Amino acid sequence: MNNTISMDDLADLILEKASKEGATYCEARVEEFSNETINVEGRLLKSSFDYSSKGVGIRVIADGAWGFSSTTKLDNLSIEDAAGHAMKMARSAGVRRKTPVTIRKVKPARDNVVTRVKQKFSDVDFRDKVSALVECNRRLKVSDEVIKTTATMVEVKSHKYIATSEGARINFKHSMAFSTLSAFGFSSGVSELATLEAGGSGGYEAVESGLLIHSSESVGQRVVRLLKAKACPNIGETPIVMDPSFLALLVHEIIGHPSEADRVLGWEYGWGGGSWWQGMLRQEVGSELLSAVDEGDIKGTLGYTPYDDEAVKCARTYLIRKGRLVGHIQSRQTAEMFGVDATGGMRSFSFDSVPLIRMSNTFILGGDWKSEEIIRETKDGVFVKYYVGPSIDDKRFRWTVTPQETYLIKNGEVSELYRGAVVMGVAPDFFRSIDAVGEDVTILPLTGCGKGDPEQLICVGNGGPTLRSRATIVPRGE
Amino acid sequence: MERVFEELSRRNEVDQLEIYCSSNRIMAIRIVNTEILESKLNMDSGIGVRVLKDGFIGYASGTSLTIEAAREAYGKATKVANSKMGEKENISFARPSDSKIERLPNSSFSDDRVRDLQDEELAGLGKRMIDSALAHDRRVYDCSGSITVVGYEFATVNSNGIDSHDLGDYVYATLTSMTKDGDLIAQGFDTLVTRKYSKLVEGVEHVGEKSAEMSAGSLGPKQPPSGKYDMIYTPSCMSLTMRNLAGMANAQRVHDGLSMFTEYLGRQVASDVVSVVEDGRFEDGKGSATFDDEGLPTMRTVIIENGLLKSFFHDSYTSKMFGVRSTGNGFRVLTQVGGSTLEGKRYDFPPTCSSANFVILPGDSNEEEIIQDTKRGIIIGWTRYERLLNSRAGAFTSNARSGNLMVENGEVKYPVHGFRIHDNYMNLLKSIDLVAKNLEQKGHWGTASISPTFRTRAIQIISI
Repeated sequence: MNNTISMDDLADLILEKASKEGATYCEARVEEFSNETINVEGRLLKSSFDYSSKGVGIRVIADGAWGFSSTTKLDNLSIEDAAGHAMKMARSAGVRRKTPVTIRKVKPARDNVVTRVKQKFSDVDFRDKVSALVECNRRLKVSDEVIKTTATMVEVKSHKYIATSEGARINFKHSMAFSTLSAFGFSSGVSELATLEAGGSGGYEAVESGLLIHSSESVGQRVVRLLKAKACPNIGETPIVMDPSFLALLVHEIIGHPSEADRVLGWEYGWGGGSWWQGMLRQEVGSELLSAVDEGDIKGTLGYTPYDDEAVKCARTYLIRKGRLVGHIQSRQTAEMFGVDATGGMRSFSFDSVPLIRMSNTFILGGDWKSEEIIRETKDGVFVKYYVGPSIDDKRFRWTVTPQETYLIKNGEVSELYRGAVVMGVAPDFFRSIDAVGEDVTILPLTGCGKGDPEQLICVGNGGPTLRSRATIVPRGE
Repeated sequence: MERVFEELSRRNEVDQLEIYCSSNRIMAIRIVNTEILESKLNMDSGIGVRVLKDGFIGYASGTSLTIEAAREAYGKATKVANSKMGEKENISFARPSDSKIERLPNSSFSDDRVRDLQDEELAGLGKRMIDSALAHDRRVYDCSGSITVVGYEFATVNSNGIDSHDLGDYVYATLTSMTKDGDLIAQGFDTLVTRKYSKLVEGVEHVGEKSAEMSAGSLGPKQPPSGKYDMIYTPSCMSLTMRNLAGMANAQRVHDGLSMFTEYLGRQVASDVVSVVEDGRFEDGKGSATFDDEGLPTMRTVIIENGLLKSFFHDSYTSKMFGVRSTGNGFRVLTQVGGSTLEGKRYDFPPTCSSANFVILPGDSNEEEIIQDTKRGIIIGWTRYERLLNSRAGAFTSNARSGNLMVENGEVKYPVHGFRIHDNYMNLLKSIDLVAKNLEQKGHWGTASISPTFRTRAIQIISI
């Protein structure tokens, strides 16, 4: 950080300036942030960058509107200028506002949190990290049909100091690491992709080389199996059993995002869209077997967030309880509008971005089935594992997620593998048709959740157990 | 920058050295519930240092334009290169001779009046945009959107004689309007992307009107049955499509076997009415600049000519792989989580092969004629979440969001909704039979596209 000014002194300078200029609320985020990314393709160190940034992000309410400013210049004059800019921004927005911004009262929190790290990323020699990724790629390439392999390792560290004009002071030192393996196969005009993500909060142990290397061969074998599989026919509507490795993305898209209160209020129509369950709090939206939460304070997960960027403690928030819509992920402003407590839902990618309402770890709670029982008790249907990507409508109502593996279930047994399936559904129908929920809750890392303009990519955790419902299966257009 | 470069070069520790600096000023207003919710300002500058030693590259960056930051980044980059990890490559940083063209006169992609825009004026423009939507149709009850102004300056210098400097500005304004008529609710959208102050101030009200018009025109939609339809793609729906198509012409992706154009050079990839260019100097293009982020001149490259695949676009790295000259397409763009997603010129990443402006060239037809000639088809106004399902095969899926209209026997009949476009890009390109004269730049959520209206035949939709 600045050699002569500490983080809390910088924050105090900002708060003082904003207060002098008439801010009714001010929040200073002082942050040091670094990212080490290593990307290996085959045996080639394709890119390696070590990016660090230091700066402040200042949010104020003045004249009934929000103003935001950020700067990487940390001398006194520049900091005061930045605070002045934030005030100016607020005033120019406020002149035209009819309804002043108000925020939910919270007890100002003071805490010092350090994410536990077993093995510092920086303590592992760069050469060892690269060697691990080269070895992953060697194991991914199980045959000549695997034409491109990529292994990536990322560490993100931040030291964030959040101070508010209400007296909150949160000092949070965090690190997380994740890794992605990818194998692209091509044979006789057929192409397929298999991927795996691993990671969580902590240090190098989150992408522990042994586990990663151990998984590589199975990812390579997956793509070869897919190349040899038959193209998925037009199956139509069918019972579907979803493995957590597939469900994680679906939960992200049709439970996580529509639970963001700003989407529910229609604020995101200009970008990501709205929520189909707007105005439906306390109504039934799914089967009684369905309960889902957002929970930031789960150590070890990629979505680990003990306090949000408004310095609000992140508690477990029920979104759906036994099929009933009971809550949303809230900021202090949206919480005030809904008349509920703030849930600690505001996060930004770094100091230079405004916080937005984001998921932390959003997942479906477990039931009492064993996963193998669900398959055994399914006469005919499909079983899907791992995902390629989503395509969802703007209200999170009609959804599509592409699996990597799609198996037929015949008389309670997993049988033929298909490639190129696309799974589609309508969210309320899907939720209402959930008729078996496993006990095997798994929270998986999802890197690259995008929201905001400019888009902010953050990491979250999503998942749930194996479950069964109904959906429609169609082939890819090839 | 010269001082930094000289000091680091004098150390004689590496074979090649490249320093890139940029500074950005980004101001934006966010509109929510028909009001300006917030106004924000980001000032950001930094340095990226790349070194090459014995065939190994290292890269690091820092967030200040100081000699200390440069030294620190240099140290980190050199450590990576000296680790000699991975396979050695026969590579080089950009040289002036890598470019297909001689240095062109500097183009001007900067408008002082955009650069000097202040928050109050920006808020005023936002209010005009909102008011024009509300005035256009009394059924408009909500608007959300933004106006973002980006100003940047960047420079690249390297030990191979590259020494370039450029600056620029651009603005994008978007508005989504919600209309309500009884129980019916619909949304509509329009955008403006420009580098010119005059276009911004003259155009914001048009954005409001068009978003209200699309929204009102989408009230009470029917759901069309699944099947194949002729599709009339309008410029406003093209941003994600063009991004995916640009990816197909990216030489790196072609080399990796990830593009549907792999093994298609010289072959028919579109109908003969289709021509596409990659143009780093497109007038008023969001991606335009005099130089790319390696310091090589940008240019116009013909990608598809009358349906034939003529070329890919290259940076200096891919140009050497293919044995051709760079087309000035080395840019520093976000490739994954962990970097800033701010607009402007990024110093956080090394350059990779990337599109500046990917343009479908206009044709001879007239939009009205295209509609009149269509027996059964859908005009596509706005799509969402277009996703590549298989990049080598070109399979994609896209959600039809709003502004989609059924055409029967040459007439627009009613709005349609609740379907997905589910087909293949090669098929889409090869089935284009009419291309209009209009050429418009549109953008949404960080992406921009430049295309005309065109019709493509028998494209699959799935209604669910």
